[in-house]
Amino acid sequence: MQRSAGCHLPMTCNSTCHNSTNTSQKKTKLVAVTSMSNVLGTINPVHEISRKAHAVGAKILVDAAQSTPHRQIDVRTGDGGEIDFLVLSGHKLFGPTGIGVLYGRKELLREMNPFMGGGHMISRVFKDHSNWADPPAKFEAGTIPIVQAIAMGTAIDYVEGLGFANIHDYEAALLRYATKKLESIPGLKIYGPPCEAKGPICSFTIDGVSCEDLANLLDIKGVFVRHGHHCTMPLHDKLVISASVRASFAMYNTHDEVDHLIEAVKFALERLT
Amino acid sequence: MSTAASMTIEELIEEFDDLSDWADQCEVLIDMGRELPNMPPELKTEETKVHGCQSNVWMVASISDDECRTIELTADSDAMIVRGLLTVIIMVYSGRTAQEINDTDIKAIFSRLGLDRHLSTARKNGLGGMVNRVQTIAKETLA
Repeated sequence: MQRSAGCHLPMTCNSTCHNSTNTSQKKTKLVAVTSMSNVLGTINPVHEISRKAHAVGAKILVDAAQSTPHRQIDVRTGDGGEIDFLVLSGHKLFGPTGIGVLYGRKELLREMNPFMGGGHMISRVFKDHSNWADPPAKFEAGTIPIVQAIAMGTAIDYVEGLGFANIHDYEAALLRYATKKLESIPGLKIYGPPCEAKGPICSFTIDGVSCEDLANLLDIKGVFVRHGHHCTMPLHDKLVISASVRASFAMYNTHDEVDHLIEAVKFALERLT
Repeated sequence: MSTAASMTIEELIEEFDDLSDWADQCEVLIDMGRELPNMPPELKTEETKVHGCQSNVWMVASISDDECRTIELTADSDAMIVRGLLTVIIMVYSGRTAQEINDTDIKAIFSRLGLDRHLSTARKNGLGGMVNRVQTIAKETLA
């Protein structure tokens, strides 16, 4: 069994997480928080959390894997709310698998020691010690995933070319449309905050219907959803449900596909209820 | 279609062959799931729970008192398709001796039903968890 050395950030009843003062005490070294909940879609106020963390001398790490395809996060705010570390994964940004990004503020990376040795990460090797290369090379021991890195760069260029404002507006409209349509289905409950406070995902349950059955029948209709506890059992315990079904929307989805989802849900309900 | 209670595994395989479409086969599994009797709530404990499944699954085995010492299975789930899959497992295994269970090539049966093609890895793992439970019971009985 793995136990973490940390403690959790409390979550409020309306599914936001901004009461970090409770856990950001003098002994806190690092506050790690997701920028967007992978179940509820909640957009966390990372800059506000950052200011609170910095006020007690802690650093902040933001897991932006969920939010990166949908919205920008400015890591440099200049008002104490800057992000010290930020991580994201390539495949969620329409890039390749097997690569991600770990951003760190340069001065912090300079202070830190490498966690792994290998080629490319030294400036000078002596008999009894070594001097490390400047960051980021210091943390890139061995042969880097060259092919993935090039493809990742292309993916970033592609998304930036489309423009985050365009992506956000389009997805926000899609989310509002999907939410309205889903909510019209009797017994269906969507979890999380209202559309304007979240990213474009809808996690839901339908009274009397197993999430696994629902996902199976949606699959037959060509609709892919994630179902289960999404690795967030404590959240599902809090919501008093054993599982949920998540429909996720991205910039490549269309309003027609939302209609198709709704038809597929109706198809499933005809068979399951 | 005959009811699940009276159907043999060979009849089910035949029916699945006639219905080439997974959507129709899935509907048969749902119908079978509906017919599976509910397990008494007091039997649904942490001990009878089968792990590795996405949905809740419980399975209880009892050994008959007579000299045949056959293994009788009772199972339940909160998902209808999983209840259908449990019915398949009960069809194959329940009422058999531990030796017969040990000698059954369940993978071949799942393959003839096409389940190996239609189930996702996670669901296959869940099905594997159910099968393991039965096989473990059989091995313990033989030991």
